[in-house]
Amino acid sequence: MNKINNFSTREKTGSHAGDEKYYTRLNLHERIQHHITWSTFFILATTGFMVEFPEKWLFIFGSYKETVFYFRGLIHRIAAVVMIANLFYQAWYVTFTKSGRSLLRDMIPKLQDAKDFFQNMFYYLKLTDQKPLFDRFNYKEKMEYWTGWIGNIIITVTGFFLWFPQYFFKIIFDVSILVHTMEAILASCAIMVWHFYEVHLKPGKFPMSKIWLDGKIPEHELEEEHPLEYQRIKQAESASATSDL
Amino acid sequence: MKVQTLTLKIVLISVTIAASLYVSPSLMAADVENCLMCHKYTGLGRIDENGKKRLFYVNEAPYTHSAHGRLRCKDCHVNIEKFPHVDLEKVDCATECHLVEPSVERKFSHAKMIEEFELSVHGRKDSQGKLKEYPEDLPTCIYCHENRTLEPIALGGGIEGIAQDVLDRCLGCHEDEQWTRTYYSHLTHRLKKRRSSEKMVELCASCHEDEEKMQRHGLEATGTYRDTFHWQAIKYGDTNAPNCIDCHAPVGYFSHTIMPKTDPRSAIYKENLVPTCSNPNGLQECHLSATPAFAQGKIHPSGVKAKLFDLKLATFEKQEMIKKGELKPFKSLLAQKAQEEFTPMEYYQYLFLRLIKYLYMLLIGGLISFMIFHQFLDYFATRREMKKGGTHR
Repeated sequence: MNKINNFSTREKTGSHAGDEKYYTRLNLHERIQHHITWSTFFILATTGFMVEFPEKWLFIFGSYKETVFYFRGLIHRIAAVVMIANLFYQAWYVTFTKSGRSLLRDMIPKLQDAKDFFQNMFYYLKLTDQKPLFDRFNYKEKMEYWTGWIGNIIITVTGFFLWFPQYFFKIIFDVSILVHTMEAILASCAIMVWHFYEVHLKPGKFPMSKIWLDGKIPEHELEEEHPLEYQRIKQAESASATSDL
Repeated sequence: MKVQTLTLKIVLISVTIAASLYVSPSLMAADVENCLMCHKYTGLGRIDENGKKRLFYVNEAPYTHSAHGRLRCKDCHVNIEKFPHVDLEKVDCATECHLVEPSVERKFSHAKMIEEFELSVHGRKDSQGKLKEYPEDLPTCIYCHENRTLEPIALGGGIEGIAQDVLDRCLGCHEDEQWTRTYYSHLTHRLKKRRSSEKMVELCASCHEDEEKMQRHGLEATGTYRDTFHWQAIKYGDTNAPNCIDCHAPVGYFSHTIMPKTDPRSAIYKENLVPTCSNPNGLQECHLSATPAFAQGKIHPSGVKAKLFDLKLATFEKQEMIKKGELKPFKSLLAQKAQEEFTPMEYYQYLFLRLIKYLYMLLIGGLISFMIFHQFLDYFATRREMKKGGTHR
């Protein structure tokens, strides 16, 4: 019963062009969350790293330097508030909706993920021919999801102290400005290496995977990348087909 | 010497001939001593005994609009008596000039100011009146004060230029327009900052970022101010962000008597930090609700972000000096200073910050290299699969 619940949120969505079947990978909630996340991340990273620009680059702003700086701070703060609101939205989503709870359940790291990781590394290094069989979320996606949460919380807390430094101890400010910068560098590098490769640069995905736009994953991709989940869906489909008869 | 005198004479003769042909009478009006007869020529100059280029050209228009525009040349260049001008003394700003200061009706002089300045941390004399070590490193008047052109502002708007309606009122009593314009400019150009914050930082940094010079005087170079958010804002031209003077000599303090942080008269002395950070009387909006807990600790020599300073100075010569032990690397100098000068609490905070920094660097370096490695392997594995006719389409 539990299993059926699990994928009942991810029902088959009919066929697109040709005979390729599509399944829902990101529902509307998740797509909205992703859109807010990437857009605020882009704005925050750009306006944030602007303070670290070397002096000689600033001539590109010409006489508007001061205006640019003013709006940089303003936009950074607005985007930060939106990002934090999005965190609360996600927290609400994974707590109070059925599909959200199923997402959270599937995201929990398990021992199997460690095994998958080692098997995958062996597979990469041609030490085994057996590719690990991933479930709905593989270890890469789980890692990204949870480091995302941790990073977001760190950035939010330190950012709050940077916004209102005068009410706290100076050492808190010192730690915050250091951690805020370092965490931003870490997050930006991680996104560029880990996420952009996975969804943009990977052979077969280039120029990009379209899941973030319509939330639909083609059947062959689901079968290949998330075989365990695919098997479960297939079983449930055949079970419901037999029960329909 | 003789050759030089001869060349000078040739120059002077040719200049005089040229002058008789070109000088327009209107330009000469302000110049009673007629120095501009020669000094208005842009090419007037020579190479001195030390091989240094000297230019003696005086641009009249900006000069007459400068703070010293009404002075005669010989008021400051006192011992000019013959041609060519030899054995000149350097201009001394303490000289009494012939200008009478109207408020006290005495001859004007900067002597009092200089006396005060000489006793300050930047002055050449210590508290006993003796000359300090390396006096040539210390700034004199003209190191910071060039004879700047008066830049008046239109009262009210703060826009550059003279407000005609205000000037008209002045002219109601003061009939001489030239005189009125000069005094209007004299007053109003002090109502705005002479230097942008960026220029101010450059001025202070021209000495205080010189590691060798600072070491000679037992100071640490300011390599970390440019890591602060204060500087990040200033480099974008933010007029609200503090430059050096805004904290080290804020409202109520005077830049001529600037003091080190250990002196109770200093704005950055421990007990004085709260008003300095909150800046209630200043024009800038600072940390108005600053608490004593916030207004403590190091603002820029924390050294945690002293990232590129060593790199910036990494010239070959400096590297050699560091190798020989004549110069200490900036980072280790900071660490040593931290050990000597910080209170235990401050020192642990400093260590804590360093620890966080290194942990993060390790995390970034380790994690990102792992990710790059992982994705490279994934790339080749995916290519292998595609060759075998994998399902990636």
